[in-house]
Amino acid sequence: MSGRAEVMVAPPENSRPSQRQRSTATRTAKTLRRRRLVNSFMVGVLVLSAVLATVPLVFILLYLLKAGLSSVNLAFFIKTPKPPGEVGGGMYNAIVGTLMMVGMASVLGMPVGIGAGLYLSERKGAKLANVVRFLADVLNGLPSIVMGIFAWQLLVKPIGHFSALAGAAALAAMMIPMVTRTTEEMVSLVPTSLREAALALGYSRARTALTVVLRTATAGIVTGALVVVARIAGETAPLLFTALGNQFTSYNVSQPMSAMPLQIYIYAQSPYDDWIKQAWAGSLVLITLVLLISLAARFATRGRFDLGGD
Amino acid sequence: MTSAATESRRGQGTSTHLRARRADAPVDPPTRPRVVVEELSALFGKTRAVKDVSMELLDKRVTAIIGPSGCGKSTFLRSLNRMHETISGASVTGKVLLDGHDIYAPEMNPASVRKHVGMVFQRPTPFPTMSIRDNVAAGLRVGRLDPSRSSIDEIVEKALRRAALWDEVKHRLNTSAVGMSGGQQQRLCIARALATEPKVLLLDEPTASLDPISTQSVEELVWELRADIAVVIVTHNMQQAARVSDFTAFFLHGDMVEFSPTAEIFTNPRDPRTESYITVRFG
Repeated sequence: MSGRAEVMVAPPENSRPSQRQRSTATRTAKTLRRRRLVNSFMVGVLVLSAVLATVPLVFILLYLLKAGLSSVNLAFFIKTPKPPGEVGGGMYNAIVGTLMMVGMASVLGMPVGIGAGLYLSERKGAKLANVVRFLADVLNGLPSIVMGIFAWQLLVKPIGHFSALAGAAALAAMMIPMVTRTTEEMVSLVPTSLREAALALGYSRARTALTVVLRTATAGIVTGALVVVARIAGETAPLLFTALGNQFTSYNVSQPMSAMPLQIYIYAQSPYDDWIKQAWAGSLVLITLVLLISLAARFATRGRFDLGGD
Repeated sequence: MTSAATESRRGQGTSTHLRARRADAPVDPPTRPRVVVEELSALFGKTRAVKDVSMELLDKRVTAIIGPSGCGKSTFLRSLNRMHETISGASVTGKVLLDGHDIYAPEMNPASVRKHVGMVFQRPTPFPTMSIRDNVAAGLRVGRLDPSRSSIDEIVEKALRRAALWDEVKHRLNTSAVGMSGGQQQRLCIARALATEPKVLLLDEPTASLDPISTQSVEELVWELRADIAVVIVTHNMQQAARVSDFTAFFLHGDMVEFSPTAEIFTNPRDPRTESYITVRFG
C-alpha cells in the first residue's frame, strides 16, 4: 500500500525519483511490453476467427454469382422447365411452389409457434413448460430428413399420393419449434415491471399478455419469424418425400408441387449442362431471396425494438 | 396527545422541510380510515416477509413506510392491491378492508381491486408501444368501462393536470412515451394510475430512480394528491418521508415496529429500534 501511495503523490519539484520508484517504473515498463504483445496477439486471433466465420458466405456468394448469374434472366422467372436437351426454360413452377408452400407453412406454423412461445415465457416455471421447452429444443436439432419421413408416414402414405399440403405441413412442423423458441426469447425480454404495471391497472393476465407483453415484443417476434421463414425456404429434405416436385406449374395443393430446393436438387444431379447451369442460377436466386428476407427482418423492425423502462 | 404538545415537538424537529411545510399548511379537516389492515402476513413460500401487521390508512392523508432494505415494506405495499400474489409461491393471510370490504374475500376479483387501488413503481413503466394519451387511458378500457372518445380526452387531460404534466405534454399527446425524461415518465405513470379514479394510491419508492428536481416535483405532486385520496408511499429516504407524509410506519424484519404521526416518529420515537434507525440514517 505504501508503495502505491508513494507513486500517487506528486513529487516536489526538482526532486529525482527514488530508487524504489525507478524499480517500479522499470517493472511496469517490462510487463507493459509483454501485456501489449499478448493483447495484440489475442485481438489478432479473434479478428481472424471473425473473418473465417464469414469467409464461407462470401465464397459461396462469389461462386454462385460466377456460375449462376449468366443463366438468371427473365425466362428463368417466367418459364417452366424444358425437356432435357432443349436449351432454355426457367423455374417459374419452382418459384411459385416455394412461395405457396412456405406461405402455407407460415399460416399453419406461426400461430402455433407464437402461442407456444408466449406460453413458455408467461408460465416459466410450470412443469409442462419445461417439458415443452425441452422437446422444442430436441425438435430444433432434428435432422430435416427425419421430418420428411415423418410427414410422409403421416400425410402421404395414408392419402396415397404426394401433395404440396404434405410438404407445407412438414415445413410447418420444422417451423414451430424455431418460432416457439425465438418468441419465448423475445417475450422474455419484456421487463417484468411492464407486466406488473399492466396488472396493477386492473388488467387480467390474458389481457396483459396480449395487449402489453405481446405488443411490446412484436418487433422482435417479427424479426425472428422472418429469419425462420428464410431458413425454411431453403429446406430440401422435408419436401423430398412430401411435395415430391413437379416439372409443370401446379397451383393444386393436393397434388405434387415443385419448390426451388427440389428443382435445384434434380437439376444438379442431371447430366445435362443446361440443367446444371439452371441449378446454379436457382441456387443464386434462392440465396438472394433468403438474404433479402433476412435484410427485411433487420430493416423492417429497426429502431422499433425499444422496450423503454429499463 | 394535545396539539400543543405536537407543535412544540415540531419546533425542535430534525427536518427543516417538515417545519417549513407545516407552518403554512391549513388545518386538515378530520377524516376517516379508508383502508383497515388486520393481522396481515405476507409470505414467500413458507418465509413470512410481513408479520401480523395491523394499521389504519386514513383518507386524504399520506402514510409513509420506512425501514431498511428487506424489511418487508414493499411486500406490505404490494399486499394492499393484491399484487403480492402475482409472484409464484407468494401468499397472504389476514384482512385488508377497503371501505369495509375485505379485498381478500373469495368473491373479490383481484383485477377489480387493483382498479380501485392504483400503484406506481420504483422505475417508470410507461408502455413503450403506446402514445402518451394511450398510456394515460390504458386503465380506462378495462372491464365494462368503455368511455367514448371525447370523455377519454377529458379524463386524460384531467389526469395529466393532476400529475402536473399537462403543460409539458399537451402538444405531443400522440407521440411515444419512451422519449420523455425519467421524471416525466414517472409522472405519466402517476397520471395513468389516477385516470381510473382510484381510492388509494400506492407508491413504491417512486423517486428512487429520479434526479433531485424530478424528485421534488413528484413529492409536491404527492402532497397535492392528498386533497382527494389516501396515499401510501414506501421510501428508503427518511427526509422524503418527513417531507411528504402525515403518518409514518417503521418496518423491521417484517414487523411493524412503530406507527405514529410523522412529526412524532422523527422527533420523539417511542421504540428504541426506531430511534436508532432514524438517528443513524439522519446522521
